[in-house]
Amino acid sequence: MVLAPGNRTAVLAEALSLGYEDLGAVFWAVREVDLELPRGGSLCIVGESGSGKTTLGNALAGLIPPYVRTAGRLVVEGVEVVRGSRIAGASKIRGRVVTRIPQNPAASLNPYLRIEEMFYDVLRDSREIKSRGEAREEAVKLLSLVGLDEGVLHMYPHELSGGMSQRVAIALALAPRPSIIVADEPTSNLDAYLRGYIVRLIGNLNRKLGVSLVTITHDISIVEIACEDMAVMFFGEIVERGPVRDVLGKPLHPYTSELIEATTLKRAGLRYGEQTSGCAYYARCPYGDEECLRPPPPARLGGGREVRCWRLAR
Amino acid sequence: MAGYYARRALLGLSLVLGLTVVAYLLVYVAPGDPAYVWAGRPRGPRAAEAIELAARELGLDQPLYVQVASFVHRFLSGSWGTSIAFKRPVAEIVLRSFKATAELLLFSYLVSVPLGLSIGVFMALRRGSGIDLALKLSSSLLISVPRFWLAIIAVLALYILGLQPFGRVDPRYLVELREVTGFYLLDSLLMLRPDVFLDSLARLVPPALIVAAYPTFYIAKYVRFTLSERLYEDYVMEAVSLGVSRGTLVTRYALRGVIPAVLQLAGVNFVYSFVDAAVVEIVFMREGIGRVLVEGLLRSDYPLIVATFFVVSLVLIAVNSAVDVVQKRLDPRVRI
Amino acid sequence: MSYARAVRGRPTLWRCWRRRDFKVGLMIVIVLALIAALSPVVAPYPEEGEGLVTEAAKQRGPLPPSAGHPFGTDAVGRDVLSRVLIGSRYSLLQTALVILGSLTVGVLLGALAGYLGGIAEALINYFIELFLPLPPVVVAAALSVLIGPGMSTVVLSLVLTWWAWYARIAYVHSRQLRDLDFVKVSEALGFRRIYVALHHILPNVASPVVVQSVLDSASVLLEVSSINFLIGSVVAPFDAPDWGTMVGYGFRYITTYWWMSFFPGLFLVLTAFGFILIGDAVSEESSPSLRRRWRLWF
Repeated sequence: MVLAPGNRTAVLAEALSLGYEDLGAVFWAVREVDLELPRGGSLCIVGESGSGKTTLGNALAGLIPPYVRTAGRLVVEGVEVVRGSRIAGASKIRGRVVTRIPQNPAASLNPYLRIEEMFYDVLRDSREIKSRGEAREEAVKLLSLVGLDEGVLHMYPHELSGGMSQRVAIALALAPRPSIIVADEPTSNLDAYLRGYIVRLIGNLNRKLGVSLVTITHDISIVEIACEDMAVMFFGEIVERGPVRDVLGKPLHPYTSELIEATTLKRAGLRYGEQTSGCAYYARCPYGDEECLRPPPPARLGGGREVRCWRLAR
Repeated sequence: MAGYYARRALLGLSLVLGLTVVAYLLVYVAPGDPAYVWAGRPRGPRAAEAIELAARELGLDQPLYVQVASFVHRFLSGSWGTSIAFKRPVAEIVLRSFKATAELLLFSYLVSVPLGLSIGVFMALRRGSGIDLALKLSSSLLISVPRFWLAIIAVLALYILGLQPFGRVDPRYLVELREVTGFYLLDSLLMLRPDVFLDSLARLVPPALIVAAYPTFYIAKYVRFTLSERLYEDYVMEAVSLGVSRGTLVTRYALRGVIPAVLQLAGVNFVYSFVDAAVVEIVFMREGIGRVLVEGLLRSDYPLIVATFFVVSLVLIAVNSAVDVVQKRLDPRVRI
Repeated sequence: MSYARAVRGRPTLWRCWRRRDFKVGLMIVIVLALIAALSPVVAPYPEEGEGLVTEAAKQRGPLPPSAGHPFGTDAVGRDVLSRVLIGSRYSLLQTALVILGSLTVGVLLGALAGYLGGIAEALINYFIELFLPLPPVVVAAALSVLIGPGMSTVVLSLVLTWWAWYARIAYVHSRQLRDLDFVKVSEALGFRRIYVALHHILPNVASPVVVQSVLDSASVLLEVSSINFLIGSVVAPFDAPDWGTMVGYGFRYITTYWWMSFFPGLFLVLTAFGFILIGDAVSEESSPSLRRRWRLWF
């Protein structure tokens, strides 16, 4: 694909909304999100389950199934993927310039195929490697990047342990030589020891191979290891974003503080947000007042930080 | 792997034994007088004689263990008595008819499994479109039509057109036909007689297509349903995200898991296709299990019916076992 | 819309109700149930419908469809419309009896096998494997000779083979339940096993099997009719007004009095189609991925 000269942006989202339609009504899982990831940058999207981060990650990876409604604009490596309700370039980017490390690698590997077959399918269709021997060599190289030997090639997915299938999934994601990788909850099914190993491995894809990286996680402890920038998502909206060190060091949005410090909740019970016209976090926010019934404007601060909260808008 | 086959074979054998017990119960625990039923509910002056003969054949005067032993021995060795309706050994008639029905059923399934699979894939990939809706509705409608009625309508239509594709082959050829396999399509080829082959094919196709209607469209609907679900499986989405091409996605990723399920479905529904084959044979006046049942019922020919029951159940058990084994072999997750 | 509603969606029945095919299917089944209930009043010649060869019928003889007899009259002069209307009672009754009988036996045995384990599990599974491949039509033929042909024979022979299918589904579900926490907790609390089976296993196992029975009600109707057709075309007394038997009886006169087989068969098609439309809607709406919009996108 042809890149515009001087294009230094890997991912650009402008007021991007993604929703699911059911019986005519649309549930917007991602609402008016603005994102910008420079080439070679790394971004963590943090949020609790149900915050829409997986839907967003899938869209960045070009996975926009027909039941997803869209609005706004999404550009990945110069290809316009979403423009309003039109989804145009998704098939041009997925498996070419961007790949995804799936959330549940054990279920994401075809149970009927040996690992070797999967590599062959991917290499043949993304990189025109037609010969099985060549594909095999390439697969061995990819596996060694994630610390696995070629014995894995003969195995079926159910014969792999959790950590091994996670690493196979990473090697598969590298196979098409993408310039962007989206890692969706890469550590959710792993024990503490493996978690550190996998996070470093994924972080190194960015630092050593220069791949632009989007990591999606609910685990705030891995953010520092994996990324330079972070965005905090709550109920489909990005409430705060900025460099990891700044956001973690001085959180400005009450939800970010909640994530970091596990603040005691003012109102009883953990609640999801509601699709209201005002601030989605209002129902859970310890500082909420009448003003929060109107949507908070994004407050742009210096140093690439942005927060959506009335307390900072004032 | 060997352990699994051994266990499956053992289960199969025990089922054959269980089937023999059921057959025994059917013969010896008949309400009223078993000998009277076995003799075909005779009436008239020679009835007493016939009942006595049947009683001796069944060994009713012997102690129970002798009865059981001789029954099991006779049944497993294939000496099933003499047919009252046909006045010939039951084994001969049942096996002959069974081959006729098997020819019809095999032909039907050879058509219906690939056809149903293709229609199903087509519908799943175009789910929600006009053509999908039309195909789905016509599949549902075709499944709703009782096969015996469809056969009657077909016979009526052919009759009006002046065609009478009845029986298995033109009676002219019947004398010269040497039965090697019992499948007329194969026998005529072995005899190097294309005219006989075409004749028997022409008579096979209409009833076979009617029998095939149910499995074809049942499989099509099932594939549409299952494949549509598979297309959203995690591992299919993963392959999509890695840029695997459409053809590979459908065949190697989505469809791989569907095919064993289709096989199992075909196995389960084979029993009901058997019923269809029997009734369609009656309408097309073909030799086969259907005709055996009709004759058996007309003459209360109990030995014939019990033997038919035994043979047909045996074959269906074998089909189920085979489907089980093949299905296990197709799924690498099952450790066998 | 809240998050929970978006994830779980509306209840299946509510969704079905929005579908045209479900409504059409339901309409067909309701109309047929009404016909079955009211047929003695609605049928023009109810006693002929029940099988009586009246004096009027004898004089009438076989007549093709006309204004007076829209479906014609059969070989002995009875009004086919009346026979078809009254026949709905017998066909639907047999279908219902087969389903209820198989459900009772199948759910009970399957649930017990999955929950109790051990010898009961092995034994019941053996019987499932043994009865599942039995050909209903041959069983029906054997029973017809043994205890005589009739509706009860047909129902019995189908229940004998169909229960195993439901038992297998019930078994799979109760097997999964056995290891779930709430069952283990009840056992740990000292409830008797039979109590746990009745209060926890059976209700949870029953619902998927009942759904399955809705899905294959059309198959049951057609199997019942096939057996009745086969027996009806030879031995049954030809006044049994079941649709399958009527087609079988009419088949003997097919080239001359085609309407005798044609109209009862048409009603069979219609009824089965109604059942299948309902089944299609239920199975599609209860699958989350089938509710999603689809086009070839990859």
